[in-house]
Order: sequence, then structure tokens, then C-alpha cells
Amino acid sequence: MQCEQCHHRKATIALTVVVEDERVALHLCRACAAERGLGAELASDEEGNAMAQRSAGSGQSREREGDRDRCPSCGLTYAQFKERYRLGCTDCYTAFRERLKPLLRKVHGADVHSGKRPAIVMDGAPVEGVTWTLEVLKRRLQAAIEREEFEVAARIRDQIETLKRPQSGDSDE
Amino acid sequence: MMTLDELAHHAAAWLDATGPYSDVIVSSRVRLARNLRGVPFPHHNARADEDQVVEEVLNAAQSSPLLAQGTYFDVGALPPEDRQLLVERHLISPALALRGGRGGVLVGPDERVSVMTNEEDHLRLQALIAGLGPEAAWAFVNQADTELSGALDIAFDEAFGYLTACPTNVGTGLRASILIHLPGLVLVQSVEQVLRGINQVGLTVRGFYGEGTEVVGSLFQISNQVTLGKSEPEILETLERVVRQIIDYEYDARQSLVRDAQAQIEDKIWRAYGILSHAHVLSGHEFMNLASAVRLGVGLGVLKRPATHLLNELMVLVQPSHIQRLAGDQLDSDERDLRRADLVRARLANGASES
Repeated sequence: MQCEQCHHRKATIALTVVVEDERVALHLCRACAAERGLGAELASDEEGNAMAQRSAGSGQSREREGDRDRCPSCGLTYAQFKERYRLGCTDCYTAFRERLKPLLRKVHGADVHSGKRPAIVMDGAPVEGVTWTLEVLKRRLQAAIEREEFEVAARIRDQIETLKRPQSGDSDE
Repeated sequence: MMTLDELAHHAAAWLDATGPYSDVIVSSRVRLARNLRGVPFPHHNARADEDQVVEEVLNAAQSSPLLAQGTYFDVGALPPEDRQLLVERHLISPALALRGGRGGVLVGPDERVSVMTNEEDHLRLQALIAGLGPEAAWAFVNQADTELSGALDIAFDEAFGYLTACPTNVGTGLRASILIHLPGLVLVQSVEQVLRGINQVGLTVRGFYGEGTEVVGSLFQISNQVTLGKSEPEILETLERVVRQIIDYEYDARQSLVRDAQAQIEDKIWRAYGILSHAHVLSGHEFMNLASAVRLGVGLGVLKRPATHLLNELMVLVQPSHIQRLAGDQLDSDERDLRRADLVRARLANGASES
């Protein structure tokens, strides 16, 4: 199995992080494990493999409980997220919001963003003075229809209509 | 438009050693992770979605003054040695080079700003500048982000900020890295002690090529780990403050070396310069270690030449794919060691006649 952080070295270490009552399994190579501050604790590869086997034994039950929540957009289960530590799409953050919060607090010491915001937030009104290419939205709409994601398509269609209204006519594209 | 050949023959702006503390700091890099809403992340993605990402990014770049003149390299269509060339120039990550797929990189003028597509996130924007200047790099990448985002549907969450494939990047999506040369601390054997403490302030140390790479030539990358809950200026301010402290420790170490072991240090520097100037076979690893001593010599005033920018440029040019590209031929490792020595001898001789 490949390391889930760098995706190219062989994973020799299974790291199980307990975040509140959630267990998150991560398969890492030595270099990435060391980067997460585990260098000193890992005496040998053999020890890492032993840990990998122990964690594999408890995998099935966690898989089942994870199946209950699945991201409606991309189908990723929370159990799959815990295995690979990668989300499937941006909607996963909405689907798993409450379970991600403690994890984010653990990693970052915070769970609320403070910093730059995009000029346009998709679900909000377009900000004045910003160029918004209608073309992008149209292509996105087409793609959503092809994927039969009708809720997404409806949202994009609403935005296209909002943008086409005369008061946002300062857009130059 | 720029070809790979032109790229290989031209020195990137971040190597020109014009920035603050160029004797210790090679470069400052800031990257931003961004994703398109509703499109699965690259690892969880179908090829059609990846094509869509590339198309939208290139389309958006046309209206970005910083990137409109850029050149896009489709990494998936390049042979391994050309992918490696882009890695050597710090334009793509080793992960993207291995992954290939529909990923690529849009490179702006002078390689100051670039955008990777379909790496771990749909977009990875980066700005690379010479010397210590994380705020200056942020200014460039922030502008590129604003210009591109105006034409893209970037995923942003009211609470979590910019959404990324890995939760360790969510929030600002910002990773700032300072490439720092610490030969003094390595020689007095206190580099580990100095760098150990930085984890406590949300920073981390990596090797020359980023995540999981080894330390060569006493070069370290210091970067932030926390991306959520702190604003971009706060993150950069912490990083710069800590890096300035490390620079002070490095100067202290250099002073104590000169005080306690002047003859040995000067000998080490002159020997390194002697070998680089005269060797006929030179491995990449040997070059990095000798160039480290020469750079220290220039910093201490022991050597009047070569100029720091020449050492920076060589650091990239002596990498395997650059050696091959400059030779215009496929070379095995032994042949590369000969060419590398030729290149270094020629450049150092030129550098000597210039001064």
C-alpha cells in the first residue's frame, strides 16, 4: 500500500489517531510519519508493520458504522475518509461537518477560518466590481446536468439568473 | 510562450540573491490550495473532471494580468526527465511528477508565480521570491489568487474557509516555506536543538524539495503547519519572526566558528572552492555539500567570489534533468558527473573573471 500523505513511498506504518472518540487510521511511509513527529517513537519497520496488522483487524466494524454517513455528492464514506485522510469533494465538509470539527481543532487548534475570503461566495451575492465569467457557470451547469446532479444544477441556474439581472451588468464578460 | 529548453537555460528570478538576508535565506515561497466547488478532488476524480479543471483554470488565467503571459506545461504528456526538470525548478511537486494524469503547471513570467493543476487540490498557486520576504511572496500569490478566483467558482465555507482535499490545509490553504542555509549551526552541532522548538509555534522543518525529502548542503525549509484559525498575515508574521531568530542563531554560530576554529573553517572553505573549481567528476550530492561550504565562505567574507546568485543558479543547473537538457542528450549517472564538473568549473571560472 502507498503512503497516504506523499502517495509515492510504501506505507510501512499505520498510525491511529484518537480524536475525541473518533479513531482515524493513517497509513504512512517512515518519512511522512517522522514529519508528523513520530520519528523517535518508531524504532523499526517491523514494529510499524506489527502496528499495521493490529489496526487492520479492527477495520471492518469501523467500515460498517461509517457507511451510515456518506457524502451525497461524491459518495465518500466517513470510514473511507478515516482510512486515507483525504476528503472526496468540497461537499464532504458539509456532510461530515460535526465530525470534522474536533479533528480540525486537534490539527490546527481552531475550527473557524480567519483570513482571506473570496470576492464571490457561490451561495451569496456577487460582490461589486468583480468580473464573473458567465461562461464558467454555464459550463458548470452543463457538467452538473451530465452527471445528473440536479440540485447542484438548480443552484447554478439560479446564480446565472442572478448575474444576468441588469443591476449586476457591470460585469464585463 | 516558453519551451522547456528556454526554461532550462534561463535562471529563475528567485535565484538572483537580491532579497533580504540572501547570505542565509535562498528563497521565500507561499502557496495557496484552492478547489472548484462541486468537482471531486483530483485523487477521487474521473479524467473528464480533471480536464474540466485544466480548461477552467487556463480560461480564467487569460484574464489575469499576472498569468495571461504564462506557459502551461501538461505534466501528464511529458516524459519523466522533463517532469523531473520542473521538479528541479521547484515548479511542480515530486507528487505531481509521479502522478502525471491530467495535472500540469501554468508558469508565469520569470517563474515568480505559478499554478499547479490537479495535484492534491485542483489548484496550487505559488509565488517564489529571492531572500527573506514571505509578505512579498504572499502579495504576489494573493494577487494571482484574486485574479483567478474572479473567474472561477472556488469552494469556500463560511466556517472552514477555503476547502481542501486534506484537512491539514483547510482554512487559508496557505503554506509558506523559507529555504534557509544553516552551515554554521550544522558545524557547531546545534541545528537540531535550534529547530526542535519550532513545532511548538505551529511550524515545521523539511528538506530541500519539501515534504519528506532529505536535508542536503545544510539547506532547510521552514514552513507553517497550521492553516486554520489564523489569518494569512498572522501566519506569515509568526514564520518571519521565528526565521529571524534562527538567522541570529546562525550568525552567532558563524562567529563562534571564526573565533574558535578560524584556520580549520578557512581550510574547509578553500578546499571546497578548490575542488569545485578543479574537479572533473562531481556527483550532485558532493556539489551540494561543497557549494554549502563555498556559500559560507562568501557569507563570512573569506571568499570574494563566486557571487551568491551564481551558487543559487548552479544549485538548480547541476540537478540531473538540467544537466541532460543542457547537454542535449540522455546521459547515465557517470556521464552526468563529468558534465556537472565541466559546468561548475566553467561557471566558477567565468564568475572569477567577472569580479
